[in-house]
Amino acid sequence: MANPFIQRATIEDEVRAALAATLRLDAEGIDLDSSIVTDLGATSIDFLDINFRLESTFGIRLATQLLLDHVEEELGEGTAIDKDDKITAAAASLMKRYLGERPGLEAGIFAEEIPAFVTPRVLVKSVEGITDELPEKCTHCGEAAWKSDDGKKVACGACSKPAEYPDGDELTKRWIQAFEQEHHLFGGG
Amino acid sequence: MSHLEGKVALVTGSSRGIGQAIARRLAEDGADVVVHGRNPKGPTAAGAEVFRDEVRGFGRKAEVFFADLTDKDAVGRLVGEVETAFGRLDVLVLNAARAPFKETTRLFERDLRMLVETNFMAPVFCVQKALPLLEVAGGDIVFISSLGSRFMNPQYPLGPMKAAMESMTRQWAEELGPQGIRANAVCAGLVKTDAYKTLRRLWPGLEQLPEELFVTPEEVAGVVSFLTRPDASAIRGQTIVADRGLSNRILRGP
Repeated sequence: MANPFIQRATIEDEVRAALAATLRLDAEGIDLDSSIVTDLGATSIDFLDINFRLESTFGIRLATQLLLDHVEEELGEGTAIDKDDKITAAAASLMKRYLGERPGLEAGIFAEEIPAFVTPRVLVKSVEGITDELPEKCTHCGEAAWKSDDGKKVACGACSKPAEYPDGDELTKRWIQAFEQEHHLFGGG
Repeated sequence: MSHLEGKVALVTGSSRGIGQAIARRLAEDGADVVVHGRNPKGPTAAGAEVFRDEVRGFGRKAEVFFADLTDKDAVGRLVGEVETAFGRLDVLVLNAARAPFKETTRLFERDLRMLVETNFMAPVFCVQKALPLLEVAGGDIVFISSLGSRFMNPQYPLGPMKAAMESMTRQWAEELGPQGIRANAVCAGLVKTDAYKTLRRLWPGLEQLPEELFVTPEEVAGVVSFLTRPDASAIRGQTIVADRGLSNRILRGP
């Protein structure tokens, strides 16, 4: 269910702002479909900064583990990344669903090449996936009285505590389970 | 300030962070410096070359050599390059480290192999291959450890590797002492390097700790510098804790 307080345009603006601040770029010029690594020049360490900024802005916790690591935890070691550190056919299908079809995103590429396929739009989707999980009622006082002053952070109008969302790792696991139940590519589900 | 004049120091993992601060300090102490990085195409490779030029700027010889230290043959080639370019090796600082951050029960086999290969086998390879040069020089080995060696930290499987290496340092001190080689370790507390960016996402409350509890890379480098001085000649096989007193606190709150 969409979060009534947080507009997608706000998330897009904040993703651009986080990328711009970390990578010292002009926010206006960031194309949401560019590669954060190859086009915008981010390193793996930069992703930590970018995520940290988004977490602080929206009061959320993004996933800390890589998607394919989660796949192997849920569906078995070796199902996503083979002995040569290359991604399996099943993993490639799952990555395409998650990241969108991108040239070169195929089975047999090295797992460490995957960050190059992450776009600002994927970050928007990750943030929105969490903020859309705003619970019906406050987990602290049980009131249904959410409010937001800035269209980014949501707090309880009754007890003032910040909204508690499920974290990104938890949502990733749910998403993987749902994907496998639908497609049966990993031999589980 | 120049007790290392005419001497050569190799600092593994010195393209950034604590390793770079150590290499800079040893150069200030007079040493010619070997900057080491893992991957010539990696994100820190360009920074390593900028840093090399900085060291050259204050009149020291400096080179950047890349090597995957988990590959024993590559370590052999690295030491060969040091010998060819510098002719000697006096100080070996074992700083390079790499680890996943997750509970130990969730480590994949590849995670565990990477942990052991990078953080345990690689430094042993370095000492084995550098031994002939260190023997000639009567050199120093300094291992860079962390508080994870003795205190449990959440999602920090690097800790047990650091414990093993502090033990290895004692082993080296005894085995290599007769050849005139000293081996010691510096156990650093919380340092705000790139790794901290991961830790602050995993350890709630870390951001609330007072600034005074954070050790600077330069402070770690200062202890390494001391351990390479003649003044430290009686210190053998020890791990010096440099944590601004963090580990003395039973409660880690602010």
